[in-house]
Amino acid sequence: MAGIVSVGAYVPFYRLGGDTVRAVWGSGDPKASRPVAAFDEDAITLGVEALLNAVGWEGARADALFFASTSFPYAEKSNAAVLAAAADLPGTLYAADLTGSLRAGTSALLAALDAVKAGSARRAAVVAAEVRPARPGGPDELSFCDGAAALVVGQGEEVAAEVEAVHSWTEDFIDRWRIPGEGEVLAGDAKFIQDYGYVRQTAATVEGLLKKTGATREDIARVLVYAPEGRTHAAICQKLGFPPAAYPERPLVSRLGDAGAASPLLALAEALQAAEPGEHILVAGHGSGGDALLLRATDKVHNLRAARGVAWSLGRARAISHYGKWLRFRGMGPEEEIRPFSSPSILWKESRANMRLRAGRCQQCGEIQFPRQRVCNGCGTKDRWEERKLARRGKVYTFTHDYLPPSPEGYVTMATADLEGGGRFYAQMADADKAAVKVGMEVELTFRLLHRGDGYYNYFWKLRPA
Amino acid sequence: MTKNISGKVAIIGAGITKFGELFEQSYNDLVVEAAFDAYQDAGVTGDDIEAAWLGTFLPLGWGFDGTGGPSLAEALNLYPKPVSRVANYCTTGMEAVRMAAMAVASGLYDVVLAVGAEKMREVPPRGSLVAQHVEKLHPLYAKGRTAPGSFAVLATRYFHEYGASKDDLAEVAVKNHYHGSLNPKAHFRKEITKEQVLKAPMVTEPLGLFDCCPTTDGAAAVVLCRADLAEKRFGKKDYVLIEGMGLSCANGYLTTAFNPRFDFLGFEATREAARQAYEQAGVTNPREQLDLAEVHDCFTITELLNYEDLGFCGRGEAPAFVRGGSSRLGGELPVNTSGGLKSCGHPIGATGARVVAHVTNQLLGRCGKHQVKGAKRALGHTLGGPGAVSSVFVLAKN
Repeated sequence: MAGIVSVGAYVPFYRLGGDTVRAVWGSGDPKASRPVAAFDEDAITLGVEALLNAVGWEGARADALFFASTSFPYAEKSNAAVLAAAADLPGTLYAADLTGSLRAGTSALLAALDAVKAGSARRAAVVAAEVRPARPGGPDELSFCDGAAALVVGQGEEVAAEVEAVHSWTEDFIDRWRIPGEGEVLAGDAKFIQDYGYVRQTAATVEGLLKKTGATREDIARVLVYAPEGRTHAAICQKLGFPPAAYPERPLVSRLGDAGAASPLLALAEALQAAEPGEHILVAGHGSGGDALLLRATDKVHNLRAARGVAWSLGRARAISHYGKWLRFRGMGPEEEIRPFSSPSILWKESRANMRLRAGRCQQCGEIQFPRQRVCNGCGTKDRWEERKLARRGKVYTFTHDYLPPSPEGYVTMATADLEGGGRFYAQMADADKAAVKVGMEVELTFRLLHRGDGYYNYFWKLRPA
Repeated sequence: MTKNISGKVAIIGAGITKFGELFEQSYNDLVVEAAFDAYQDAGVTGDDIEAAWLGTFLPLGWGFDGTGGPSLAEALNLYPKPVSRVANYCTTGMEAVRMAAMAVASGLYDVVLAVGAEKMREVPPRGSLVAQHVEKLHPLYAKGRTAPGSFAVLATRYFHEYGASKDDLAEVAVKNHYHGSLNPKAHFRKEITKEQVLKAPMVTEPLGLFDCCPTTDGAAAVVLCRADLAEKRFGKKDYVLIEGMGLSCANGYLTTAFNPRFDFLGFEATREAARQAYEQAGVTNPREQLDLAEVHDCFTITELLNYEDLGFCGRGEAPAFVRGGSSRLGGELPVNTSGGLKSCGHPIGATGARVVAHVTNQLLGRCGKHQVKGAKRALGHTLGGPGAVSSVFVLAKN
């Protein structure tokens, strides 16, 4: 039976605090704290982190990738292709972007299952990632959050959670919507969309699944449903009528916020990492109807625990120090305009080196060089290289905090690090506490947006504290 | 095996413009001023010049200023002579002199001109080198690196390795500003205190504002000839001979910091260029055999590393060398008596030519308040990259 073979999640490092929002706008829960993407992160980079957490640095042996988001950096041009390159998925890959609905996360998971069941893919990676657009001072500023989850779907021995049944239904319904170019998510009548949208529709989604399987409410250990905030989540749970123990004590939406299309997969990833063999888990996605899946944890489910997931992400966090910095993070601050040079032909021909981090190991002298030269800079031998993927981790050899280049942080930390197994990497640091950066500090590579040179997104690797 | 140029080429004229933010002068004004000062000093006219080399690194002005030999030919009316533009990062000006010297040593020409010029302040300082690094170059590699930032990483490592501190860097800044206060052509002519250096705004840790050279306009020129013609044809009793010159490229520009063999504690390019020049000049103990040195102090850390790379002191001993006053005017080996790049500024293409011209003036006893008395042999050094390329000259009075 097809099912989940690995999971990963990534919640960004920065937090927007309710106190920070309240100090500027005069309202907002001062205890609120929601994860937000850094200025150099977007749905693609969050997705890369989540997928690497699911499959590891060496890349997945996946032959299909379903990438879901309502906040893709590119409205035209494949987002999944960037993700595939950075996560080092094979070139023979079916890659699809799924967008337009908060249901896109579960849609991607269902598509992946179908592909595996149909035999058109052996292993299919599913990634859902969001950087949710909230208007400064608007009602969503402290309820939206950013994050990503990744699941790999496969069959046979390696399955850690079998998908026993799925159910989908569709009903055109105007609850929340966003028009391209207008930026903000709009909403209909709050009472109407809660009662007739989230509660009624999710109940119908779950009932439909239960009816298909014949399972009773008592059979299910964990019930995970989408809700835009905690009170709606409680209302849905009350309506569904499962035993209280089936619901998370504090749902993810109450702890993190509304991660849009990534929400159901984040909740599923978290639940699978806590699940015991034999448990049934029900997860439902919402959006003009809904998708529901019933999973059963196998005796392999503990294998999922080692991956970096929600718990790992929540262990690392830093508050954005003031509201002005938050505006600068979202490109709304007084940023000095820079127009870096870029070239599609350079990015294309160097993609294997720059996205997949293929260095060269000189077969003559053994030196590992990145970026690789045709003629070895160590011994002068021409074109005798074997390809070597750079290791993700290393140690800072030296660094500086440079206040000259424009940056929302006010400085750029540049560091050069010796990577495990050879090779040296020189790059910006991300998510670093300035005072903690030291010679010898353990770091790892993280995929980030560098700039918009020539109009498109120029992604590359940075170093962050490991 | 380096062949020897020692004694074959003479410097018979040197010209240096005022260095500074020269908003009233054009690129061509700077070139004309430096070249004609050198002509006058040498006692030649443009008609005597058989070939010329122009060093300009980043032509930033309108049109084609500094982009090729014709930029110099046009400014000086050297038509229809052979004129070339050279560029080699921050050694560019010195590279123009080196090319000119090699041409004379080869026997192809008897009298040649080398000019270094850079007009950096037609744009705001932020529009010059910072933008070149942040906006131009490779779209991805080393993005975020700046010129001071690429030297600051050496300071961080040097501090880590040897326990040196910002206080040691400040010694260099205070000394070079003192020297600059004595040099009428320097960009900065004020002495500064260590407290000012240490309290200055941070630029890129650990380098503060006074650890960095300014953005400056300027030009310098030298006239070179076959050594035997200095007296015979031009009647010179006192002139300067090139005893040795070396150049080394030891790293790539962007890839320096990716190089796993680079220790960030000094520059192989400097050590190799010095080895070449010392060998030709017969210098085996630079600290004793040199009377002064003009070295590349784009940032204070660079000067400390240069002391060690050029053999003035041992590894890790540079802080003690500057603290003990050895490199101050009146010390055993005064370094950057012009005020260096710290006080003169660093118009990139001009710097190397200015270093050669300044050392020439020292050896001919023409430096007034910043003269090193009785100087007979001196070193000039430039460095670019950082550490990608370095050029070293050993010059001596005839």
